Amino acid sequence: MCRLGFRCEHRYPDGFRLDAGFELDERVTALVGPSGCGKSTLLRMVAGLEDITAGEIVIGGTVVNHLPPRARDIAMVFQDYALYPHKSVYENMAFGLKLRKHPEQEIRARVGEAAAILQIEHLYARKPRELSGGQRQRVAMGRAIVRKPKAFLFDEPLSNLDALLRSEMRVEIKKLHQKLGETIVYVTHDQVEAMTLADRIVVLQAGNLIQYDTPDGIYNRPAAKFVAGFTGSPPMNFAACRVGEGGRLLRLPGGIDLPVPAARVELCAQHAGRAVTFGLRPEHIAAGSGSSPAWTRVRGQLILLEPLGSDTLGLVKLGAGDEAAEFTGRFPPDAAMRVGENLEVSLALDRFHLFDADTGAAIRGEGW
Amino acid sequence: MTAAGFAPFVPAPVLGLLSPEEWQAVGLSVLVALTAVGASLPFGIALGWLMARRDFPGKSLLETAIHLPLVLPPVVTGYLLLVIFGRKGWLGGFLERWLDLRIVFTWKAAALASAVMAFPLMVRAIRLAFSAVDRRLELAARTLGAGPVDTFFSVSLPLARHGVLAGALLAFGRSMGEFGATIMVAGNIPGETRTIPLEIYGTLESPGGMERAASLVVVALLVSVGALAAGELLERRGRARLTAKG
Repeated sequence: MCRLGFRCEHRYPDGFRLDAGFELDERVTALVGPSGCGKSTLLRMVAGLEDITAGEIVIGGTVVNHLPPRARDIAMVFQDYALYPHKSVYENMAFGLKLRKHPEQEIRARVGEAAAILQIEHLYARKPRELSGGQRQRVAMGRAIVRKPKAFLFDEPLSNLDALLRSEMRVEIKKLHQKLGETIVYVTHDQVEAMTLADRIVVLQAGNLIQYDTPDGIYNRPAAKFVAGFTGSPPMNFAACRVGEGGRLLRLPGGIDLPVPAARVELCAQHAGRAVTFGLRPEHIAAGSGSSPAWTRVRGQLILLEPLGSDTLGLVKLGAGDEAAEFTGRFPPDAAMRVGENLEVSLALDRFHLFDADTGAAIRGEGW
Repeated sequence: MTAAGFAPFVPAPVLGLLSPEEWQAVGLSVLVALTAVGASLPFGIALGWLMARRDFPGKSLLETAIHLPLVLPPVVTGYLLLVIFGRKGWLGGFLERWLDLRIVFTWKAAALASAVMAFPLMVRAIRLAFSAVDRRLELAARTLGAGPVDTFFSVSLPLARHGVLAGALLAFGRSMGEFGATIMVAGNIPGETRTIPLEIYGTLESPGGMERAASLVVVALLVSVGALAAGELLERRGRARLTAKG
């Protein structure tokens, strides 16, 4: 268990600059972002496989900037497992301990312990090529566990598995963490993986830290339009919008005027007359009238239906005209709706988000 | 090794296929080729790894130097070796004065010439083998507590071993056939430096040589084809192993 501090910078040969700082502790922290955002580089810098240009990395109170990977006491699980094809499952798991010249008896005990947790004892004699994807994944995790490191680093460990196995392994990793209680840093481009696994999420974009927060904070209080558009499935709806009436009205294209709830008028007033981006999550759009007084009814047209079984996604054009915004709503599966029909939907206006139209930064007041 | 040296290992009918002089040449060729490969393999592995894994100033220059024997006339390579290792050469003189070690015009010179001529082939195969090793396997070893040396011996080298063996076999085959540089630095001394190619060359110069050289030519063919085929097979097996996802 340890605290891990990270405040550094890495310049790529092509001029791209990764610059991020945060601290994390004995919890699961997910680093998310689109490919090329620097998340894997960041993890490799922690592992010592990549140099940092400036700043420092602290693992458990020790500055490790100049320590080689083996002196950092971390264990890494790689995307395609990086198991040794010439070694058996047992040898793969024992590899790290053998290198450190632990006595044979202790090696056997520790490998056995890890194998029992992961239920792979029966695979000891097999070579990696004789294993299924999920089994390889377990062996790779076992190889990390036997080292009893200060922190585990996972580099997109599930991205090579099919969807079913992925959700299974996600549960496994979560259980594993509950059992071991170690610090885990987890890199993924899959927001579902990040939301379900992590206690803390670091969102990176183009080498910059955009938000470091709990999954709840990332989802409900995104710090930027990028974060809002990255989380949720389907992600948040956006529309260009202008603040009118001294902050009491949001004017959306298509002739839609939305009244701003009293609690938010003051902040909106500061942006009166300016172009902003309006955001609303699909679950905050309901067919017919909403469940609370804050829901505002709007006329629209149903463009598309996507039944998911548990609920149905409907794409609704709000208002009329070519510029009218199209929002996806999450509706009950039994809602009787037909594509093309005109209908009334309700928007939960106590849940909307506003973003600066230029920078994408969230415009947010106390408590929302 | 002489003809008599083979007698205990080779059944009589086979022994009769070649003359005692020819057996002597075969034995000498094997000794020369084994020595050449054995002595150059550590350097071949080191350079192959360096070429595959490291970038450093002067890399292309070093690469050119390694490949030079492939394109230089062997006689020129032999000449340069004479300049360096000759009794008055700057390295040869030193060796003879301080270590009482004479190289030129001994079988050691034949081995040296063979090693230099075969080196590009060896390094190329080894370099390819190291390049084919997944870098993440090496990185994983680093995070698991291996230093650079541990990583090399427990991950890189075992994974590249088929390619390393293939390189050694190719070099062995090439050494068995070395002629031009060998005759320059080692001369053509029966029982000392007269290897298979030199024996064939010598036989051809005497009357009826075409017919009498045929049996040694077959031996040379068999050795070369065998080394090539075995090398190719190993290289393919190594590739298959590495591409099988692990």
